[in-house]
Amino acid sequence: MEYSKLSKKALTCMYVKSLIWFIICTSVILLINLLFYEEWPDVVSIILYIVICLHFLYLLIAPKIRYERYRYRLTDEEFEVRKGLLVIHTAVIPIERLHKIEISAGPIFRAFGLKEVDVTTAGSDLNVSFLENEVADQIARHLTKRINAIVVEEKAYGEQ
Amino acid sequence: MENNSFRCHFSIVFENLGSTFFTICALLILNLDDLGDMIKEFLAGNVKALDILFVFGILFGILLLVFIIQVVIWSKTWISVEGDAIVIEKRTLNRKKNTIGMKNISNINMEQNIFERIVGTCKVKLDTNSQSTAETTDVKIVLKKDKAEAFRKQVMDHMNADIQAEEINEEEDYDVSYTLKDIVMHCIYTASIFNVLVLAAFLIGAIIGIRSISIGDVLLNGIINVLGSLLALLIVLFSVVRSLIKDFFVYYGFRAKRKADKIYLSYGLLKKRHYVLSVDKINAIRVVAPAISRVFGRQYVELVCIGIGDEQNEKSILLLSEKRQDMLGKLSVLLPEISLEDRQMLRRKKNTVWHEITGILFMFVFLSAIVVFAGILNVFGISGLWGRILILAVAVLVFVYWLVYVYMTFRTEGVYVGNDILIVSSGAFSKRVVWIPYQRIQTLQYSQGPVARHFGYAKGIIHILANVANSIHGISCFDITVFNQIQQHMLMRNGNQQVK
Repeated sequence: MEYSKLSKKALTCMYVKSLIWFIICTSVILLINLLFYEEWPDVVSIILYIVICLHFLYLLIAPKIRYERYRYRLTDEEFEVRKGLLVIHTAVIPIERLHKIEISAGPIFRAFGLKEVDVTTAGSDLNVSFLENEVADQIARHLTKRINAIVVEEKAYGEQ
Repeated sequence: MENNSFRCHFSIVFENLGSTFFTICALLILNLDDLGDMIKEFLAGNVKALDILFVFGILFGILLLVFIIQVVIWSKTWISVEGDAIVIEKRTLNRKKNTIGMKNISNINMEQNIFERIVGTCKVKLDTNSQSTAETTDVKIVLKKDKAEAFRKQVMDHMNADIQAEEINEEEDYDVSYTLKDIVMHCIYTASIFNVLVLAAFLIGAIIGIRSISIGDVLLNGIINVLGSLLALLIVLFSVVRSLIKDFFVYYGFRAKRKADKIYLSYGLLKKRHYVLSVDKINAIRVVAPAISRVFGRQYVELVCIGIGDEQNEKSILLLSEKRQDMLGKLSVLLPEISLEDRQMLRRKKNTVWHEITGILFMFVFLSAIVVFAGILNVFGISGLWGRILILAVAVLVFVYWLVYVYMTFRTEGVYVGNDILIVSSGAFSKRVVWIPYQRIQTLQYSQGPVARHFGYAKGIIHILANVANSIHGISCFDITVFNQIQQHMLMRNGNQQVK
């Protein structure tokens, strides 16, 4: 089965989240620099400005790469997510091991009509973010349905 | 309260009071100087007797308050068996009712420390097969020994209704038991190299010190100062020796038995432990060979499960350190379901090692440059040619150690992707081989950086149901196809039915 990719709304949301983070970090750095620049050697201020420039570059590039690499696959037996920037992380959970499914949406996600799905097993958990509302609900429904079906299959197998 | 409800033995109040008592004693010992001054002042007539009584009164008051709280908690805590569940109800200010289904209990253990042995009580510990409570024991109940054994039998009967649990007597033959010599050998072969080196350094230092010390020095420096240094050294020696001989006290009289679907373990000199574990609750088996054991071809076996090994400093050992053939023979009796026969392990590719060595070399050059610049700028107190040479020599030693470490890691790490079991070997100087049935793997995660993608390998971890120390098992740099195979096997259900 092919991997599914995120919608275009997710890319915009990624940019907005990165921008907010950039504004917060830059404000803190500029404030610290404003308070202490007289006591510091000039080289410290120069390093801080370089950090801001690099962060801006990251803001421009990172969301696009993350978006392109972000993909997930939901079959009858497994839930697989692949994401990352430089290092690509892949996580696989067999659906029969699932204990809990949680859907949540913060204010930024709600503004874009997006949700995130958290699935938990007895040993760890897996998170898929930036999913459209309908897709997230559909995934949760599919997982619940499959867990119930697997329980029935297991019982039938045990009785044989 | 209903007739089938019962409370813990009253001695639990004193057990719980013990930590407060020892804290107060420790406070008094640490402030012995102040106490001495206070008594001197009292004898000189500068301090009134009432002031001293006030200080001791506060300490006694704290002890009394804690005692009263513990008595109230004891009197308001009731345990009952309702159908297939154990209900623990606390009717204190914060009311709490804890219901545990007996079918979910992974193991039921009994423990006796010295105080409990004097009083004739026993601590019954219940653990459920749950990740959320994997770090602690879910329920601890202190009862008279006969009542504790009856309660354990009642719970065990409910744990698996199909197979009735059978009690085994202390005198009954166990399948596996170890002599005093075996236990001493286990302590020696599993000792940490670091502790052995510290002990050796201490002994050499002590011999040189005693030979060079003279009466004149002692008189010059003052007997108190010399005794102080000696005491500090003895404390270090005690902590090292303690860590070396601790296992002797813990695993004294180690015995194991397999009966029906349960494994019975019994061991301990000062604190006696009796574990009963359902075989189907074992999530993995780990064969460990610490550095010294590895040199002599010995290894011990640990269980990865919920319930054993979740207390502080506790290991979940099934078999003590011994030669591989002996270990396999004993394991075939205790766990005939699992065969730990040698398999052809897949080794790491050489290019993954070169990748690591390049990284270390880069780090070495970088650190050396810092040292040279530090020498030029005379920062960190590094000055002169010899100072820089000394630091560079240390850097070279660290670099050589890392090279040996990487080589040993390469020699040790391996993976076997079988049809029903995954085997992962890890470590550097010590070796840990974990055997995990695919059905017990909860999650597989793997990652690839740009270099790994270029060479076609990945690093990964698998999660299983266990306490934090045992729940994550790393799989080092292996071909990406290994991870794809593990993924395929994870999705096979009911033994041989591949459903993907």
